Amino acid sequence: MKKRSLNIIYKIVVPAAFIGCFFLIWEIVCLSGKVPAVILPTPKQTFEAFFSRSDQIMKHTGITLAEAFGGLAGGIATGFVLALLMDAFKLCRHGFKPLLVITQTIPTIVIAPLIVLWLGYDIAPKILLVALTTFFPIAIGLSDGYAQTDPDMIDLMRSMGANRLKIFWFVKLPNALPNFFSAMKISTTYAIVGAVISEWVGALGGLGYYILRMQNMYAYDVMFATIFWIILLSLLLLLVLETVKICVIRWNKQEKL
Amino acid sequence: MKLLEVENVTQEYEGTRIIEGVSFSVEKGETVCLIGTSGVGKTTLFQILSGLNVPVEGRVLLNGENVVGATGKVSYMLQKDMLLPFKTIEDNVSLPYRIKGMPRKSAREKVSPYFGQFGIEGTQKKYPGQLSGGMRQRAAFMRTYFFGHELMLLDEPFSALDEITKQEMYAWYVKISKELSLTTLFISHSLEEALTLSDRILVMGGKPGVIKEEIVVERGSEEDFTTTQRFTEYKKRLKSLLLQ
Repeated sequence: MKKRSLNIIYKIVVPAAFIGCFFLIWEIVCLSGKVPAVILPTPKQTFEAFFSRSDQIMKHTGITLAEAFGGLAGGIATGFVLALLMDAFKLCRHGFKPLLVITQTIPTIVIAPLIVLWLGYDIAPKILLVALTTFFPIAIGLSDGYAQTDPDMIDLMRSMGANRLKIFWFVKLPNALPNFFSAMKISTTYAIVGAVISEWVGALGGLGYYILRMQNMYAYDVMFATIFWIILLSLLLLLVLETVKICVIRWNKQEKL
Repeated sequence: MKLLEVENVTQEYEGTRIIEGVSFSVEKGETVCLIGTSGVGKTTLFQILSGLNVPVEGRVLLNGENVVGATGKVSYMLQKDMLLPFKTIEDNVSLPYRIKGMPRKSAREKVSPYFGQFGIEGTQKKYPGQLSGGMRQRAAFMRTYFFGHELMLLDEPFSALDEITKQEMYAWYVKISKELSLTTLFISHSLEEALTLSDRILVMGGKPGVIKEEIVVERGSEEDFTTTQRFTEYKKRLKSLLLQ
């Protein structure tokens, strides 16, 4: 079989078949009557719930996405500045790394109520919480990318008379781009999850808030539909990111003459 | 007229002397080869000449000016081609102009007419990963040329190439060197390469490394110098010096 056909089978057909099996098993479990329908709706009921409440789900999606993107932008900016400082100054490199690791050992669910307490119920605490969960992969990814730059490449740039800023711009930053995109994949999923969690502890809108409301109303079908929507949303964002990555990192895609 | 004068240069690394009292000079328009066994300090010497490394003793004069520790004074091509994988060949080649602050479009226009002369016409929009070893080497050499300095330092410029491509590159290098009136100091491990390309050969040896001997290569009028008796004699002489 041709390599391309095999690629399609492994990348599309196999995952689709596994997902199909998952839904089939779920449907069979529900239809067997072993689990009460009120606790676990069937996939069919879940899809129906999604379409019947799609206007509500979309309204709350807008709020969650605003929080996620706002926080992600903050996380990227913070991660970028920290990585830059760690690359430029040895003192920052050794000083920041343990602090960065410590920030990641605090569970989001623990810190979220505190942030709400300090900043209130509007969008600001959500953005801060998302930024706190997303800056770490970016900072570490970029910092490693800068550090992995071939020292001979830096020597060559120095021999050309390039200063530190030019070495950073022409060599280190592009060299760190693959790491940046890998970090972005992690941060993007963290951003959505972070926004949803931040809404659980105090919000007036958003998908996290909507899930809690539906849970309290025992509308598990809508709750499940919203959860699947969140998964789909994360996957869509990852797809967009992968497309941007392919457009930006073009040099990896070229074939040898 | 002397372009480069190296006076009594000595370098140490963690208390160990790498090279000691190295002195030589390079005339304008000359091609000089630095040959020696591995670890004798050739690359260290090149790093000193390019300003990347500061010697513990000695001076490096370029057109009479002491350039010890000053980068951006010579055109330096490292052992590997060091093309930036994320830039197209035209952007790699025009990098010296970009570093000087020239906008990308103008830098590309500056290098554009030279692609044919350097034998890589049509590769402008390609990435280094798409080129063969020989073409990458030409691109790296072209970039080194656009540093725009009088002296070119080439650290084993053809070592990564296969034998056929090497022969091709030697002929090409001799031609372009004449066309552009280049002054080159290059490192080589190949006796044949040293004899084919250079006007003079500096043989390095010992620990710490010193210049053991200087050989002036007189090619004569024969069409193919490599088949002459003189070539064989030079080769024998070099071999015995390197084995000492």
